[in-house]
Amino acid sequence: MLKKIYYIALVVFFIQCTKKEDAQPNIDNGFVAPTNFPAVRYNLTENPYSNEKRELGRKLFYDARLSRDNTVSCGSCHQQVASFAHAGHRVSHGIDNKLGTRNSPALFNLAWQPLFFWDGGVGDLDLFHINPIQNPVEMDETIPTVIDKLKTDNNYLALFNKAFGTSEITAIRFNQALSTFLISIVSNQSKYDEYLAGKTTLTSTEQAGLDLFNQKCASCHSGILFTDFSFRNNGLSTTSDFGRFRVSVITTDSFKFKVPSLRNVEKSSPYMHDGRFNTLDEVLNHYSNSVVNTTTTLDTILQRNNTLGIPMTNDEKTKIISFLKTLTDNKFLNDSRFSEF
Amino acid sequence: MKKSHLFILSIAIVTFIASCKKESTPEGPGMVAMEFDNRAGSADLELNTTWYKNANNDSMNFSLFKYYVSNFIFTKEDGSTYVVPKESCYFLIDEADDVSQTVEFPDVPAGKYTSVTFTIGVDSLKSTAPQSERTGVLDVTTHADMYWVWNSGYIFVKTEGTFSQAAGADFMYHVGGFGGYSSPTQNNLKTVTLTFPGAPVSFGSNNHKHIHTFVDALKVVNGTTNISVPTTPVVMGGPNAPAIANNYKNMFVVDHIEAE
Ligand code: HEC
Ligand code: HEC
Repeated sequence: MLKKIYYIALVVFFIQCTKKEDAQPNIDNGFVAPTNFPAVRYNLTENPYSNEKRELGRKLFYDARLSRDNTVSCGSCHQQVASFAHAGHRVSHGIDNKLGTRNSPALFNLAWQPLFFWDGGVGDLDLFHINPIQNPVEMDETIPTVIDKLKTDNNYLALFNKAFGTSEITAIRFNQALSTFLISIVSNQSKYDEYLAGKTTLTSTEQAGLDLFNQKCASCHSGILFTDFSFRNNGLSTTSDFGRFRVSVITTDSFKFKVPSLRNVEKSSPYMHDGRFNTLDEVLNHYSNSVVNTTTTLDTILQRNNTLGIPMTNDEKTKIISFLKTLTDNKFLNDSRFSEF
Repeated sequence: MKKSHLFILSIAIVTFIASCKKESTPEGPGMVAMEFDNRAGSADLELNTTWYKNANNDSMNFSLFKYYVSNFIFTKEDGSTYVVPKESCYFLIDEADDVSQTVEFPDVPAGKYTSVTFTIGVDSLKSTAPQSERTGVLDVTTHADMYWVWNSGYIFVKTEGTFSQAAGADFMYHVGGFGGYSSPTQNNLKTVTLTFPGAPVSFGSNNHKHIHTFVDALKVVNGTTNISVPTTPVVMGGPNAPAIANNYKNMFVVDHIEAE
């Protein structure tokens, strides 16, 4: 009898253990940050996390009624298969087939991001959503009109009730629900993460790529998030987009853009703020061969020993790319909690 | 007969005591209204219909003139101050909305005052506050035209119009910039102090006052840097914004103060 109880206890214990692992990233029981990530930046006190808000936010994210003519949703430009970037689109493509000027960035681990946009022009995720909704080339709608549209939908009244305790639909609640969904999109289950946790090993090529990456790339694409969130000029030939300067009006910020994370980078082509490169090969060829110093703001890391760029052999590039592919997080790319249906 | 005399006397005494008491209680706080009367040079500002000349002799016809004023402080003769409470110190003045042009401070302690100090724009603390603390004129969803989404922050002063009858001759001056969140950006916050003509001026429960302030829209382009409107018709933040902010910080002047 006693033996039986022990067995049951043991089984229950195991189930719980496996459950815990499967729930990573842990977003079903409150917002639990992965232990090897830095401190969360998003203000969870102001907008406490809940599954109900996340669900409502997911619904809003995929709802085309957020745009003027009900054709464009957030999900149109931020697709889960593409790590929430816009697959195949150099620059964003919005309402009335209008083109924006910048590439849709991949979206994940936003709770750790201090500033948003390629130039860091946006400082508060809760106030972020006004941007695409009101942008004439993105969704061209206003938040008060969106709220009015939602109020006519009983489904939404029920979802707001679940998430906030009453069915009142306000701009603040709307923004908070969208933010809750966005911060829930955590990516930390790539092969590389499993390697860090000691659950798998890298192939020798991937390992060599990791070492090269640490030498040549990690000074900017640093840490567990693969970015230091600074603004830098990585030697692209310049266009009329002045990057961080547009926001700060500090001359030395000209042509600097936010260092993007490289998690899931295999999936989020095209690359750079204007989507000028389609493949990782092109990106690495840029760093090795075509870094230009047309302005005085080129990062010093890219002009060491009187050489422009990062010297790399073809073999080294192949290795780095095979390492970058270990950052692909298939669980995140297929997680139904983030998907439209 | 005697009784009625006594009665009258006692009433007189009571009245006397009551009035004495009244005189000895200090005067309570009073209402101070501040009117922002938008002008163009020496003329009243009329949107869309009237042409004005700036210092550079450019013609200007305004279609819009809007600005935030906040953080009001009244200074007394002895240097002490009354700071208007945070929750009621943000105002959006709009030439197209008469009601917005007079702001009220209902609880200014009685005293003799010499000046008022305020900020043109929205201070950095409020500019980075969570959305729940941005109500009324600071609600960025209902006042989206006064908020930059591409560079998070309020537009402090916004004016638009045309500088010639020719098509496309539009001017737009939008100035904001509170200094940035975690990485520095331009700071165009300006604080101005306006001294009262005939200072000191008594405020209080027996001295409700109306401060009539003139605001010269032409000073957006006139001042330390006289802007040529045809040469620089559009400023939306950016390198020219600080010069404009330095101009418009001088656009306010208290013309007169009257009993309310
Ligand atoms: C028409 C395409 C389009 C639509 C629709 C769209 N976005 Fe974006 N999104 C972009 C582009 C382009 C950028 C980058 C803009 C920049 O940096 O200037 C961006 C940036 C972002 C960022 C910042 C990411 C970062 O790393 O800085 C977030 C968050 C985001 N979008 C969320 C949303 C949400 C939420 C919606 C719906 C309310 C939405 N987007 C709708 C194209 C779009
Ligand atoms: C000096 C800092 C710096 C170094 C070193 C650096 N990068 Fe970057 N990287 C950036 C910046 C900044 C951007 C964004 C530039 C832009 O869009 O204008 C970027 C963009 C990228 C992108 C595009 C990502 C996207 O989502 O569009 C890839 C891929 C990339 N870097 C890979 C690498 C690799 C691999 C290395 C090492 C060989 C490397 N970088 C070294 C700063 C750096």
